[in-house]
Amino acid sequence: MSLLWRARWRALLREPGQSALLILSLALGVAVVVAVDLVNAASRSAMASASAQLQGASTHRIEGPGGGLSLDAYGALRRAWRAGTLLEGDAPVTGFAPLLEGRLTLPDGSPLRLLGIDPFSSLRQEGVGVGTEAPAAEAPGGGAQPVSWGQFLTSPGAALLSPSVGPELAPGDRLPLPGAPALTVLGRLPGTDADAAPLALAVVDLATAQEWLGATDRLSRVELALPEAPPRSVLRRGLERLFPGLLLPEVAPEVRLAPALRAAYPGLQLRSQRETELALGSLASAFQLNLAAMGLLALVVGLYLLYGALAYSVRRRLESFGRFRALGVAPAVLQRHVLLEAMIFAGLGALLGLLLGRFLAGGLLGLISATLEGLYDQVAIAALPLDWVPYGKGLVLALGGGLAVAWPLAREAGRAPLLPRAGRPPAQTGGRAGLAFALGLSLLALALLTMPSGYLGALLALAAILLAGAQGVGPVTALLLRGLNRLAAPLPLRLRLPLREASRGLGRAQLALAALVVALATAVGMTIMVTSFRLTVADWLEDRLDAPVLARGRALGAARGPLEEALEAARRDGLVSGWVWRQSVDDWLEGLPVRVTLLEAVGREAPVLRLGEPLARQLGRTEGGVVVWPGRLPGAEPLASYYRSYGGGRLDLEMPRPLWQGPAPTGAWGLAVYGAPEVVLPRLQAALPRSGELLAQGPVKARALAIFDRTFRVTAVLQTIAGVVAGVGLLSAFAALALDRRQQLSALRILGAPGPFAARQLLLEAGLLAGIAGLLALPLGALAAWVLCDAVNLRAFHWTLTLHWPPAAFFEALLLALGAGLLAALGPALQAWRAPTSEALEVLRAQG
Amino acid sequence: MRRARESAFARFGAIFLLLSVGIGSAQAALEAGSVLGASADGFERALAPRSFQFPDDHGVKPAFRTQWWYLTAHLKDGQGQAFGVQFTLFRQGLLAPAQAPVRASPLAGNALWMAHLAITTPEGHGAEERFARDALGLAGVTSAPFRAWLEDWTLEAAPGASPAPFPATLSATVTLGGQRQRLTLTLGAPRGPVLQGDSGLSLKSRETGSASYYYSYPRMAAALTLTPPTGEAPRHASGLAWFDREWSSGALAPEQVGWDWLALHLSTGHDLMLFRLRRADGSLSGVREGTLVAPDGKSVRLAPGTYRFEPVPGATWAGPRGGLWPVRWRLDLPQLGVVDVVSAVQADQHNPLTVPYWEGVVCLEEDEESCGYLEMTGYEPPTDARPRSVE
Repeated sequence: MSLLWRARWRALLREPGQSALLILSLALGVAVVVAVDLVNAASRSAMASASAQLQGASTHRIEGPGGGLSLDAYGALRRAWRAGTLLEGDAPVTGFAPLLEGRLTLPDGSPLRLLGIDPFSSLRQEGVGVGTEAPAAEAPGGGAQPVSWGQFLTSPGAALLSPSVGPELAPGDRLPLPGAPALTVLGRLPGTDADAAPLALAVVDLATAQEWLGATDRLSRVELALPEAPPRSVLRRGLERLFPGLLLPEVAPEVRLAPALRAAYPGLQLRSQRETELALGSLASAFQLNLAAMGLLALVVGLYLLYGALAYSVRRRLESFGRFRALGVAPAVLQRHVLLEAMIFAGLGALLGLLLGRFLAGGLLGLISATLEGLYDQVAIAALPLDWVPYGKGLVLALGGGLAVAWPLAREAGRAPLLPRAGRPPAQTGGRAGLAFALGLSLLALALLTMPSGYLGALLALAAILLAGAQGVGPVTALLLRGLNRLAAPLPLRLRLPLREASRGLGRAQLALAALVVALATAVGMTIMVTSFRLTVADWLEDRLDAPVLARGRALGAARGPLEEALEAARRDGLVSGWVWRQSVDDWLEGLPVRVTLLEAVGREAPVLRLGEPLARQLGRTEGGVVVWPGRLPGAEPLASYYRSYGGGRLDLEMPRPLWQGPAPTGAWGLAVYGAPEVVLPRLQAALPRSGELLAQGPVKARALAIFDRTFRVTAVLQTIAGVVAGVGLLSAFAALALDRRQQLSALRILGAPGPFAARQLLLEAGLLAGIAGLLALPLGALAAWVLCDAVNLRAFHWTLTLHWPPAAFFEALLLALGAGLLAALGPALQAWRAPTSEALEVLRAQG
Repeated sequence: MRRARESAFARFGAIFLLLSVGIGSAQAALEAGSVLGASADGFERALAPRSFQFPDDHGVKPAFRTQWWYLTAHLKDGQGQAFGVQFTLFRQGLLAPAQAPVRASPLAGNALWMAHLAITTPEGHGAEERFARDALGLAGVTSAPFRAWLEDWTLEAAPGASPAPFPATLSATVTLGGQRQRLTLTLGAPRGPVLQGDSGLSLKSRETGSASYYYSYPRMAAALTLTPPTGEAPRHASGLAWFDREWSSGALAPEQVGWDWLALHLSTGHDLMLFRLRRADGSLSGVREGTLVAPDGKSVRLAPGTYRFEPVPGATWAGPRGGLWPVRWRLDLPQLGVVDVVSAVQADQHNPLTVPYWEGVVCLEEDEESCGYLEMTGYEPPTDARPRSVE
């Protein structure tokens, strides 16, 4: 046994760079997996922290029509709750908390979430509710002051602020708010610090919230805690932790409001928080799942490389394994040896990967946070959590993957022939078995894409396509090289030599090439997808924000009269051709949370009832049809064709205002004016109390696209990392190839070939193989882009992207492949160039 | 005698005050209020005897900071098993009416309501607590007809009861043994009113000079019905009830940490109330009162030397938070020939609420027909839990 290890150790020492590169490529794969998981966990933890602050222990919520709750209904609900008759069958309710939620703007323009609570029935996390020990607020110069709950209830504007809001303000100070009276700082939300609670939140009494939000006739909702809230099974929790972004629906017994309440207050909706979370959070989850999939892809590339390196190493040593068997070493011992060797590589790679992952996560944090904030209106992530699961998962995946790829090789080692075979180690070109496997994977992908398998199915199909492509790389490259060899037959030897040697070296480089093809194809696919997305969104913005002047804000509604007069005057003067008023109201349609935009057009095409694409797809109304919405629409209303919508987590629809029969909208007003900004803006500004709400179209579009770019920066970074993993693999493969070639090149040197000749040979070979990989990656990348756009995005986000094919994406991929290949061969080439003939002789002598 | 319950009032009021408005402002109110007729925060103070007007005085006195309506009833079922009901409604003014800003929100209130409902049955004792803002009619008290409520806990006079608040009915939903039950306590015509202290003005503590307005209806016939939600037969019990009404703007003296209060309906037809205040070291703080109401309704103040009311050494019940509660008391009242021990019908009648205290049914050991309520506070520190909204 020790003989086996001594032999292996000597081999390793001869090629230390090889082992280091192998470990590095595996480590990078693990690092991406760990980093993405860590950041996803941080994002979940930030969401959970925000939701604990906002939802507390509530499991359900009751909302009225239009997303609000009248005070009359609130009183009835409260009495029913106390009498134990709130729910059907008098199901018990352990907590009941009214809530009024809204948004204000901080002086720097960022949003401040205003949460109006009843301190005596709060389900919020400990500390926001009233305690006998009033939460202490830091007084200037240290020391604590008690927070007065009497003041909280009776002083208009008294607020408890989260640490990130006006950190310099002390109790008693005032927090000025543009467009609203200042809030008075009563204290800080206790038990949190700025790192743990990045949410800009002001907790106030319900009365203050009503006054500050101009909603004295209603609440947002009542939150309930139900004891029989479905327990989240250990399995479910475990799955959701292991696969970040995976949100499994709960199978919960249905809870309903008591019939008497439903009859007295039609439109009251009882929903579980989980249901709301699922409806609103699935998009962000899809994004997180995509990231996780990219991380796994990088790891698969790393494992692929491990397999390649092990396969080569095992097959080169088959003769020596045979000798050991002849000496009486049991096959099981040889198998264990190979497995252990794989475990050592995988273990070292995993450990390094865990460390790298921690650092990488720090870098990705801001980028992923920006995406979640930009797309899904989520809270910022401030810090990485102390969570062992991502590390454990990285370790298990690396070791498990290592074991899986080593297993067939271990069996091969155990079956090594007792008598040595003549010739070079067999080249592993895959052949028919590989092609058959690739065909099988392609069929699986086809099945997944044609069946309703959801976006998880689409992701699996993508993985199957990439894997099929990887399987096909060896045979297809071999085929290409054979063809090229035939074509090159009339050429001189120095030109034919690289082709021949490339064919011979394919066995060693094949797996690295496959990894490179997969990484490049992913990069091409992602680039095409992101470019298509960006251009689609730009087109969409062009379409949606077609008015040269836009205005938005709460004050707009109040100033509607003067604005209309100014607009009419401008129309008479021929400066304005028309305008559209819009105001939105949040509601539920067929069990989905929707935002309804009510439109009034003057001098423009009359608005029609139509659904945004995500909603149309969710409801299965992409072909039009009718909408029946009791209490909201007069009858069965016909639908016009859907409109494209890329509003992140929101499902939206629009209709002419007169059609709407639901509760009065409460959202901010928007106004789009069709006229030259330079003449329209000054005229309207005079009629508008806060002219800052009036904007020319250009900057709005630019801002939207800037948010988009910020959102997808993380994708580019991960893409690069996957490319680097493949690059490292390629580097390792070509370095190995060069080692193999030393004998031939040395012979050539002795025969009189100059150093530059050997170097050129190596570079040509590498360039050839890498070029082929690059070329193969292009169609595979295009296919991946098509799946990403037409299957993954459509299924996950319910929006259509118009595919664009940027030539740069293809050129970049080719250049990257060639660059990686040449860079990998550069070191060995230089070595071959500089090596004196005496060293070549030494090599020949050593290798017999 | 008359000042017995007022100190209990003061203690509850003080804790409620601390809970509601913060320690700093409570102390400021005490200091300023001891000198002036109206305290610095604008609330009126009880300084001189007044002429009580019934039924008006049963209603809310918004000019005073603290007030309460307090009902206790001890009962027995057909098998002689003891039951008890305690319902208390507190109102804490947060802003004096003159200082309250005009608010647009109908949820804005300048007072806070707290209610306690505790029930003793042969199976055990339970207590619930509720809070409500002074808005939307969630809680309140009207004088004619008399009605005191917090959500669905309602004490409501029968038609024609006025000017007295009784006969009346207390109805509530409570959780007993993990099961929500409907409670109905029917109260008959009352004895009283008995004006406590100096014609209804009673000093709270000598140190601060603060006082309250205070009267009682010490004896009503009471009938209890507990109805389980489905199927099971309702349970019935009958007995006697006691009602207190008090309002003030003051609080306890700083060195007073707790009190022991007893109200007994003696089998002779007399109603006895005894009270003592304690300091932190366990010694009596000097306020020690007794009142005896004769069957004809006439009340006399008991001089300190005319009765004995002290715990039986070692007879304590260990509370959940480490407090040792004396649940047997030596009671000697020579003028009625009483030499006996007052003993809790159940040792655990502890109310683990925001302000934890022990309040429950007690009877004389030698005369089981003489029963009433014992209230003890200050034997354990206030809980640090937030007020619970208990359904």
